Amino acid sequence: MQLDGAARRLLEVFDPDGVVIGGICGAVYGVERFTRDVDLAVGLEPEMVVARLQSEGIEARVSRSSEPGDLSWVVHGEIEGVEFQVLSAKEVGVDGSTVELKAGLRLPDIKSFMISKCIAGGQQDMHDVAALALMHSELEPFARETAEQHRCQEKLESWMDDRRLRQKYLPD
Amino acid sequence: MAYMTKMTRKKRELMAEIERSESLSIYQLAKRTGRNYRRVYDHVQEFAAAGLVQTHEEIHNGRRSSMVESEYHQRLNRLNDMYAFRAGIHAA
Repeated sequence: MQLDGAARRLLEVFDPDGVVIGGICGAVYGVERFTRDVDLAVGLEPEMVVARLQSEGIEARVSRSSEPGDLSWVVHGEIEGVEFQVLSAKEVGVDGSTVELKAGLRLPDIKSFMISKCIAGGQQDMHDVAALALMHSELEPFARETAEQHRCQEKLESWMDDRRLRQKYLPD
Repeated sequence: MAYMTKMTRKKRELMAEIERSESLSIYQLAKRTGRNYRRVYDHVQEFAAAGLVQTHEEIHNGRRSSMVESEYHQRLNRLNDMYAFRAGIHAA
């Protein structure tokens, strides 16, 4: 199964509650980076997530954390060889009212996606935010403001100054 | 980008449908938008000439279909290719 096929199958399972986030969403918005799994955000409790998956014959397990900065739960599973994670839409900052449909996939709009990446705040996440801000100059102030709110401005600035990233994503 | 005649409301709506949907044939696109096949075909050709969409032929049940894909589909296809390539290396 291909990545987008797995994402479509998961969206069907959670219809209309799920949105695709992570690397697939980034790819649709133009960020060229490899991803090996599907990330989905849903507005459901983890028990309900597992129950829905199991009712469709998909095995899944919940991992929980009480560490500060961690997501309180993540549901992990595999669908025809493709790994996936289901996350809490609320915790990753995805609002159900800002959903867009692109290439048949339900995605957060580009600003909500950038917020979710700043909440995650890792190097790859800030790479994606910087790439989007370079591609869409009108989003640059928003990216900086959001990164500052989530205390990851330094990482963003470092990626914004990255020569290879600028060559790749700044419009001609 | 190549020259394209004016982006009318009907063309914008058609483009939005292409971007929203999974990969569709021109026939499916005409049916979904309730428009004339020939008119949709002509608009798709204009979009393709302007680099806004890509078209390719597929054969379903022995019938040839012209499939239409937006830049969003093309980006997903590239990601799928990367994934398949890495999965192939991993399996070898």
